[in-house]
Amino acid sequence: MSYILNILELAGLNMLLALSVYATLKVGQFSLAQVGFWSIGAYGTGMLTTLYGFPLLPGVLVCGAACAVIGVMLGYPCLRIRGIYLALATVAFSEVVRVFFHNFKFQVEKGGKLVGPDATLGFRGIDVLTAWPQILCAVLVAIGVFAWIERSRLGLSANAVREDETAAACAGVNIVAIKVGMFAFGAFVAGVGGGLYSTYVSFINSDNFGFHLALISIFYVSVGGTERFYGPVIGALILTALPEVLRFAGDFRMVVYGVIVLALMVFFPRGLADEFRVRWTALLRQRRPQQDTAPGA
Amino acid sequence: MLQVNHLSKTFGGLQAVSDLSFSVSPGEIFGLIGPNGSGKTTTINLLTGIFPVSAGTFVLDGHDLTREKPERIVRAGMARTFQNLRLFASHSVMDNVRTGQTIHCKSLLSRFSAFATGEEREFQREAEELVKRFGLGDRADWPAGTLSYGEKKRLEIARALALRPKVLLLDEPAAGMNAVELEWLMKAIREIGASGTAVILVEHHMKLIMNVCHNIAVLNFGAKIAEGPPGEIARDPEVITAYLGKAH
Repeated sequence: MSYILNILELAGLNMLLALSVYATLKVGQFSLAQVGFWSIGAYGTGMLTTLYGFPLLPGVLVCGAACAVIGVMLGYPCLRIRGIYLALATVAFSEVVRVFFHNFKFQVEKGGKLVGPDATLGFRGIDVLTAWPQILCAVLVAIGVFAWIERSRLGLSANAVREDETAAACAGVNIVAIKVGMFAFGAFVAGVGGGLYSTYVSFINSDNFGFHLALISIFYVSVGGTERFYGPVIGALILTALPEVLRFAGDFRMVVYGVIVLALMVFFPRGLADEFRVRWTALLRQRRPQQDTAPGA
Repeated sequence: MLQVNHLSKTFGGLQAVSDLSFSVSPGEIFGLIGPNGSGKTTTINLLTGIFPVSAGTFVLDGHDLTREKPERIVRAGMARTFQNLRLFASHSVMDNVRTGQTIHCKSLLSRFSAFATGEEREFQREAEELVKRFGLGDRADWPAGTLSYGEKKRLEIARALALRPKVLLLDEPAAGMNAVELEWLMKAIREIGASGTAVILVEHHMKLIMNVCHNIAVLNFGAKIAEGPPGEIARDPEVITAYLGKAH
């Protein structure tokens, strides 16, 4: 039972990472920077809680806010680039953060021994403050906020920007505000998620937050779906559970995992959630009789 | 109302629009015609802020919009359609129309609320009316990408009108329309003009231009070669030369 709970807890944390990627994808920005924000959140919250005695909630909120500020600073220059160049710039940011923490040594004596980030050896002994209730709350709040955004005019504008930036500008959408805003919001979610992660696992190492995690975070969204908020949630759940389900494959587990991800992307290019939603609504539409509406007729 | 003064645009060495001046008053339907490559679409792109202007100005109701960004120009009251259809394909028909209304939200609440406020219900009604008026009533919840070509063209105009523009710029609305649709389009453009919105109509379809426009400007190689009511333009020797060439 606790084994399944563990997987669900990890899935919940991954959902936060996936949703933060989704926030930037919503305005058409393909960002690999979320991992950078994730690790800032992880280290930051770990230090605030363990070294300075912050409770969990203020800890993650402070780190989330810091990430949002960095997100604004990163989001502005990123307005000018798109596609593969944006991916490169954002992965470079994540690498900068990773290398920073790889060399970051900041230890404080606590109860007779040194704790704190210890460069390449990682940051061990973080107070464990997060378990399933905290994760569940965070995921529910995040889902609620995303659902709210999607129902509101803000979501309408964001989708318009993703569909066609020029047409959106000509429909009066403030492109700069919405792109930088969503980038910062994504950074906030990643910062909070990272904070929950480090206070859940209690040991983090900069090597955990490398390019591999950046790729995985994109997998969640592209397997789940990029058009509605439940896409990344489903993607994170499936891809977190998948390696566990595949334990029977022994050493070939990750090979099978890769093949399955590949197959999902080939057969469900829009992502599982969106593919089924689109097919379902098309089916409903077919059932209903339609008459052609020629103008003037 | 809209005043265009000595507008110019150069792309490298190419003079796409040169020293173009005209003015449009409320309710006027103003035709912009000329052979291919004469700078009509470039003019629209300049007037909506898609391209930066090289020289000259344009002023709407006393506001100089020359250096403004597209979304500011839209807010000032100029809306456009696109020649090669740029709808939000995954949005429903209704949502395409609703997107533009956001600039008219008076309160922050209706801008960010997920639930229908009083203002939102007003918008909803307005959008439904527009969708019905453009013959898309029973397509309202379809994704725009699944519409037929003619329906998409009509939705483009509906989406632009949802912005409640003072000036509506139509970039070749008749392209690809059949005779029935064209008849309908003529009526629609006249109605828009009658409601007090000025229309700038870029078009190759002479029947449409000659039938609905109050005034026409003719462009050739980026410069205006004639301006006047349809009857005069049709007889202008320079216009005939630009379109048909000269007899040798």
